[in-house]
Amino acid sequence: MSSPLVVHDVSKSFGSGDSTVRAVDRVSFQVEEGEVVVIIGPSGCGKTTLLSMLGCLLRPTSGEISILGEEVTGLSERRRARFRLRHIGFVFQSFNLISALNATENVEIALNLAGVAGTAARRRVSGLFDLLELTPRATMRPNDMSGGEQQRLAIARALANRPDIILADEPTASLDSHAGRVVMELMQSAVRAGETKSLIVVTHDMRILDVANRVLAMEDGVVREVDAATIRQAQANQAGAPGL
Amino acid sequence: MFLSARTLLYDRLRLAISVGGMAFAVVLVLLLRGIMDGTVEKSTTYIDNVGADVFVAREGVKNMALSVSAVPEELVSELAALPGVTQASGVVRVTVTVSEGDRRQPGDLVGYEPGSGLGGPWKVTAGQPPASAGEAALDSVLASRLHVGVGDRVAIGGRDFVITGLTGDTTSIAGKLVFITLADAQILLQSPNVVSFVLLKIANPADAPSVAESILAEFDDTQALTRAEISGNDRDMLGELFLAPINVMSTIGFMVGLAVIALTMYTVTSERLRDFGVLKAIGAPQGFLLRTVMSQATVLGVAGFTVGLVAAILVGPVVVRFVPDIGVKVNWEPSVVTLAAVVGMSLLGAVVPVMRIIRVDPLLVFRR
Ligand SMILES: Nc1ncnc2c1ncn2[C@@H]1O[C@H](COP(=O)(O)OP(=O)(O)OP(=O)(O)O)[C@@H](O)[C@H]1O
Ligand SMILES: [Mg+2]
Repeated sequence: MSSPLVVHDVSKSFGSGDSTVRAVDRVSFQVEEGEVVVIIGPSGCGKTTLLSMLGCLLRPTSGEISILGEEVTGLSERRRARFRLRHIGFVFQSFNLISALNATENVEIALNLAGVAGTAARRRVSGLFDLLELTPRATMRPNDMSGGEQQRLAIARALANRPDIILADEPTASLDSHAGRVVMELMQSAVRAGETKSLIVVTHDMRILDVANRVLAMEDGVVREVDAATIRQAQANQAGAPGL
Repeated sequence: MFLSARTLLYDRLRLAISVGGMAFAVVLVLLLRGIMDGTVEKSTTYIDNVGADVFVAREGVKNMALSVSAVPEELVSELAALPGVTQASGVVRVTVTVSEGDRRQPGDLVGYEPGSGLGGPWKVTAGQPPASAGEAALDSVLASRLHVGVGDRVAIGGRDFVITGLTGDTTSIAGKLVFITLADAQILLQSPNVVSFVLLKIANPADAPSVAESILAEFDDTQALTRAEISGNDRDMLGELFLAPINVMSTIGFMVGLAVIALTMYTVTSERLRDFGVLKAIGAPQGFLLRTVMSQATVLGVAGFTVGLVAAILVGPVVVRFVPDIGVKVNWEPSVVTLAAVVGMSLLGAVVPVMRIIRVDPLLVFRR
């Protein structure tokens, strides 16, 4: 069984000539089934750019990305859209829910797009709402829900079509620490429950490191693997709160 | 397509305004067209209801409205003798002024032979039709405008008449009918032994075209037309008079509708552009997004059309009550044409939103 995600020598530059910004610089890594990978790094280091490429929303300037053994950088726009729909779930900092639709419909639309409708769709939604503790919110509009609930709803939408990979960009940044923790634990349990093969989370939030199997540190477009325990220790020392 | 519906229903006030605006444009177009059709149809009320199958006039006269015809009265008995003709009757048709005191109204005079049973009023709403000299029956709308009734006196073409009856179904934009005896009409015109038209009843009305043809062949200086022909000629003539203003107003209506739809779709789409970006990021095919916008526009248009159509049908009779000269008839052909135009407008109104959706960058999902 090949790795769900293999990134090989991927670079992305913006602009041209003197003003070229090399947002991602020859990055290589791979993610195995069942893994939760957290990417950390300072603002502007290229995290979102990298995640956009993994999510088939942005083409690399060079390098290859293969997801489930399929080389995705060369696919047509149409094929990439289809690929996203079937294989990739997204969770964003701003929840990006559709405010005209209620909670159930926000998930149903993703299912419908993938050709799942009617009873099958409703059953899937209620299963996800049970898992994510959203059942009492099923007919509420996103704007009437708390931030944590909205992000859980976004996770339900991301999981709807049983994606192989979930990509999350700062999923806890808009939430208080309790809601952020709940969201991370739910995403982690979705991986454990086999709802998705792997989870990649980009964050500034060091508390998230708890759930990581592996941590990738990014700086100026370059990625290197770091030991989660070391980072946590450094973080704790810096905060002056040992043992936390 | 619950997304289209939900998005439209999200702001109900705006939806109501948009549908209302669209309906207004549709009412404008349909009502105007309905007025044209109804009024034109009403304008031939005399020809359609008088009971004659063939109308004989002076050579070259193919209309009853806005025409001058004169034929010798002897023609009446000659035509009566033709095979298949069961009844012949001469009538004088001329426009006159009807007045009572200071009040003056235009009228469409019919002088007919009361004894013949052909050429006179077909619906008497009060009193009796005229039977002898000095008597007149007036269209009831005309009588009410003059504030007169049965038993009152009016001046017709400057001569004094007593009103013996009132008639219905005799109002049209071409004129309100006034019935007097043929002899009185000939005196008014100072042309004895002359009639404007000879009306014929045919034993078998289906033979009307062949009877008309044989009259054309046998009698010089005459024109013979079936009821359908002369009625059609009058309607065509009036319809043409209406056509230019109707086209102008329909164009304006179309532009109002287009502006309403385009503006609504533009604002709805602009507000929801992020949603479209999100759906793109998730993997919705372009076609799905475009169908969503186009179905929204079409739903808006068709809803506006439906409201407008119902309003036009309901408003029509009210208009006629206040303006009895005209008719309103919302026919299905112009309605179908308008519906097609509305769908066209809807799709045209969705063009700019569609272009914006095609351009929207799904990477916006990563922005706050
Ligand atoms: N479309 C673009 N055009 C030009 N430059 C871009 C574009 N997108 C990103 N960049 C640049 O690439 C670099 C990396 O941006 P990116 O958004 O990936 O950083 P990030 O690590 O996600 O930052 P943050 O933590 O603030 O979200 C930045 O210097 C940014 O200005
Ligand atoms: Mg970012």
